Amino acid sequence: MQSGSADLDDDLVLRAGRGDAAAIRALVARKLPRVLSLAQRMLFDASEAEDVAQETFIRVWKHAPRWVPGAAKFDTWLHRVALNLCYDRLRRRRERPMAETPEQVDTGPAPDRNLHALDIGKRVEASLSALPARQREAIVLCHYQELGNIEAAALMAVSVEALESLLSRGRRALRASLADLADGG
Amino acid sequence: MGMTDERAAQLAAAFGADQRRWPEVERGDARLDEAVLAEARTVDWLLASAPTPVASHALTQRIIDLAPLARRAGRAWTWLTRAGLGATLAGACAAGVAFGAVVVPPELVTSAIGAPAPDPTDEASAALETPYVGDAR
Repeated sequence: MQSGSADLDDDLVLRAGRGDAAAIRALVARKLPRVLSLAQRMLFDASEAEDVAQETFIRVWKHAPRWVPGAAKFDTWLHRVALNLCYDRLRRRRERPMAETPEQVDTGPAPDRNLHALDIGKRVEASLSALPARQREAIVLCHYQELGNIEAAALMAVSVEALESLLSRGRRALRASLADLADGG
Repeated sequence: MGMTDERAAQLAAAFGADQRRWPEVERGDARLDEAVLAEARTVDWLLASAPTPVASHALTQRIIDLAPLARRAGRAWTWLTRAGLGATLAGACAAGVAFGAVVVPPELVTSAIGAPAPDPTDEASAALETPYVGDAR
């Protein structure tokens, strides 16, 4: 499904590596939403997600002149870079005192059952952020980033069976924590 | 070979109700139980309710503006890495020559290779002055 898309990625990266302004803009338009979405859903902090997106693209620009088409899939490489930057930040967070961790949204059921879409979204986001990191990562890569199971498993360095298990447990936990929404919606 | 109901339920629990999200090799002939399907759709709906981050114009422009700077930095780094490797090799050669000069009489070295041993400092400076001429790959 990705071969035409991968070819276009390669073409844009090569042209961006030669300083082609149109290719640079096209690559940002094409990939920034994916990188930002990944970082936001891994970190749940808009400012940190923007920093990760920016740092990811700095690495893209540095690497672009040396990009070898076909040696690796650019989208996979991009996810690898962004994920590693997210891991670094999550590791630093764990090392920080609790008081400095980003503010978390209340995951409990809202008193008003007629929630607006925005409120539902916030609750889902909060429940996602409360999932164990590996379950959340599996859901982010497969559901939101729409990576195939083999690609997602390779990025997470787990087997496809382990990925499937993480996904099932993550979805089950999410369903349980949002039971009031699921059963009422 | 048809898929068992149990396997179809496992896939729906992991990847959701939409078979386009399932592993490519397992799509197609699955028949899902209504309850399993409803459950998977509910979680799909919850996941779809999460807000999608939108990149601000400022972030987009900042990243575009950084491209030429980062590209130059990347090339400079490549140049420095290669020059550093050259200098290291030259240093290793120099050390080898110096060692040889101590252990072996110079006249023996020149007679053995037919020419005077090169000045290692010239090699090192030549490596450092070699410009980076582009990416061969």
